[in-house]
Amino acid sequence: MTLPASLFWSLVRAMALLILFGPLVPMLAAWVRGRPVRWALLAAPFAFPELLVGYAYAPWVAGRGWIAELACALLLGFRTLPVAVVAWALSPPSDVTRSALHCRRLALRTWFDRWDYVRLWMAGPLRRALPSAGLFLLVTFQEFELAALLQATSWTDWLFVAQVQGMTLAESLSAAMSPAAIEFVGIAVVLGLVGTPPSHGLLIDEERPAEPGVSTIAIVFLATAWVLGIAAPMAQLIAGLPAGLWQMAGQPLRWWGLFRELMAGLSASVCAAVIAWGLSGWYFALMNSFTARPPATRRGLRRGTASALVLLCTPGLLGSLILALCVLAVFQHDALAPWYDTPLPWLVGLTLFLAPRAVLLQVWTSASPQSSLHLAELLQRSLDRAQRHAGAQLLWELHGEPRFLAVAMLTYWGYLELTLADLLAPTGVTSGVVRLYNFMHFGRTSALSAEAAVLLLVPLLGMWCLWMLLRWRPMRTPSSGASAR
Amino acid sequence: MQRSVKPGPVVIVGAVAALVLTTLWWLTAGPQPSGRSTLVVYCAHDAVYSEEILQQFQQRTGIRVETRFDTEATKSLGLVELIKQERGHPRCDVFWNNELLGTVDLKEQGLLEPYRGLGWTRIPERFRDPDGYWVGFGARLRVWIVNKNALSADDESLQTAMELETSRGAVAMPLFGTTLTHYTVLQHAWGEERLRRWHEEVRRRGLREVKGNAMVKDVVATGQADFGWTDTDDAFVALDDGAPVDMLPIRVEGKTIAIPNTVAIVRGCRHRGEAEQLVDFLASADTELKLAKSRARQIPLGPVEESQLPAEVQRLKGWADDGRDLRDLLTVRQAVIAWLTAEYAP
Repeated sequence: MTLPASLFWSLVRAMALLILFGPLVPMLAAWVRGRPVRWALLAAPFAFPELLVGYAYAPWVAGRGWIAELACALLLGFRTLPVAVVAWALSPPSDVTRSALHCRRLALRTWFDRWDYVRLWMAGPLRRALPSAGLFLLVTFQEFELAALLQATSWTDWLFVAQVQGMTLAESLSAAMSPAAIEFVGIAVVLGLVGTPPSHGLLIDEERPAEPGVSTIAIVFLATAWVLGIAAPMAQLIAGLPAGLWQMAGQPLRWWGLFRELMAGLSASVCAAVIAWGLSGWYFALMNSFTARPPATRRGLRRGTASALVLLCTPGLLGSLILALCVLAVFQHDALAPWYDTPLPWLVGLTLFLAPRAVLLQVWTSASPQSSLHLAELLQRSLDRAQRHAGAQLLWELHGEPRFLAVAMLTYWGYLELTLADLLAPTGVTSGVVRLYNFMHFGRTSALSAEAAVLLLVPLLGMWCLWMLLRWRPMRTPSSGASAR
Repeated sequence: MQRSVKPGPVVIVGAVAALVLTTLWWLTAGPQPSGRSTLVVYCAHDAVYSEEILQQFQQRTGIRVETRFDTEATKSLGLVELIKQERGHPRCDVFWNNELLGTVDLKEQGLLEPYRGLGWTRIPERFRDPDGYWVGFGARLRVWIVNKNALSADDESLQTAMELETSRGAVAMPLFGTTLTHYTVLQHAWGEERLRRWHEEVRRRGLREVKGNAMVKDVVATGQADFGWTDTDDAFVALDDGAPVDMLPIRVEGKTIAIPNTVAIVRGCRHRGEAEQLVDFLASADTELKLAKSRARQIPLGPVEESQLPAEVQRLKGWADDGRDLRDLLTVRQAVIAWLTAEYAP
């Protein structure tokens, strides 16, 4: 299959999945609203490493034509839908309520009325859905590991195969430009819509309780996603877990090695996540600072920073393989060669890989109205102890928590990124996920189960503990409010 | 209203992470207390088998080794291509490849340094470079892997199954690894036209192509396919797990395909003396015996104490003695790669 054909196929698959799974997004968003446990249950299949999912199903479907395509599409849909739900929940609400739309529909008499109705629908429900749909399309279009392991068609795997067969870096870059352009259009649409919220965001419709039947649909969806995306892949690993832990218990050296690899992967991904987050935050701060300038200067400055955004996001959109090869080539240049065998290329690669995701998350986490933040800050400075508590908690929920979760998500994405870790990490600093991939090649042994459990669960547990600690902190800081007086 | 940006917990966590990463790197790459530097080894042989051998080398010689392993995800691309890309500023001292033709390719590109040491001397001529640019050791064989519940592991049954039940068979994509070497041998034996016709025919009849040899092993062991092509080390993983499988060597014009590990010193190597020691260590009888006794059951190529070989390796050794000399196949391999690239990623 040629590159244009595989590109077309990847796009068609992403569109088909959007049509199939898209209608579930508002229902699931309503079902999980304000329920942290439900959120966690929904997000889990996406956080579960696709490496394990791919390995679990590959013997049954890989190399079987349309069966592989179907399996890949379904798994991809169930895994990626939580992203769309998160995007839906964080996107600005619609300007047009459902009741307004309904009233307009009751009064359709002329062609102009019909056009007006379409216009309202575009400004309301369509605009509301586009960021979420765009992100869903982006993630499904970019899919690599699952498609490669199940041998389904994808442009990412095409590039990988071509690269292995000796395609030069320049040719690879040129081939990756068309998918990157498609992705960039997608990301621009998402950013544009989320970044310029409608004038009167109305949550009235969305705050209604979920309609009857939604719970059933949500539970069926969750159960299927968990069985296909977590339980089935985990079952094979869990079977050997007790024996594996027992086997490893008497091997301190192995534990040390595992700890080292875990720390290497985690520290690199935390650094990259923080840098990517900081860069994207700085970008938006800079954009906001132009508001005080005269219009002509403002336009010029905004154009300049928009170009900077393109530069920041494009490398990450090329896919991790191309990105890794580019970074490698740059650090082979004489001027940068002394930095080649250091963690720097890995950090640069990871940061660029995470940058487009950080930009998106930055937009979403800034969605809270500034007035709410200001009120929460005022509340935190109150003389009343109970109000200070409430203010601190509100501020954490509005400002701190979304940012913490965004960086945690970026970190986990970076931690699971295999190609960059494999090609760019300095010699001797191996990431846990690379080791896991190496060992999975030999089938499912009990020691592998234990190692997989440690390498995948410890970071999640660590982040959860940190989250709990940070949640607890604002509730116990009345003194900080007092000192502010 | 603009909110002030204060360095919060996120920045502190980031700073701690940076410190941890730098420390980890410094511990491995920084100056060693003994004053000796670290030998950098790129190893395409599977980590589960090679790690122990490299540790023994460290213990025996006191030379510290830092290893970069290949992964299934970037197989072939990973290390051979990495050495090519690093030609301006090499960081690898010794390359331990798990096959031969990639190493021969590096030699042709002028990326290796010759060394004819003790290890080179003890290995038979057809498994080493005449000028010492590389030396082979511990080979594996291309084999049929058969699910015994479906088929018996004999030539006749396998040929019949391949003819009549092609869709019940599985092979790895021939673009990579040892299946690429296998196709190279087939093209050399059959000629380009016949191989292409055969390839098209078996694909048309539904021969299942999966990502790698380990996957071929998995699909046959789980009964998803009845037979397939894989390597002996993968077949032994299935046998050790108690899967109902058996194996038979693949023969092309009466010759088996024995693919040795190869070791070579990379041009620009910074620790030549230590690198020579490692080459001798890997091509030694001791290492070959260890590889033979490992789960991979690799076949010794040089003289070893036969009585110490596991029974199954003694059987393999007989098959490997019938192996074809692979050294002159580089040009054919390049032609196969060109054809397969046009086929799979036009």
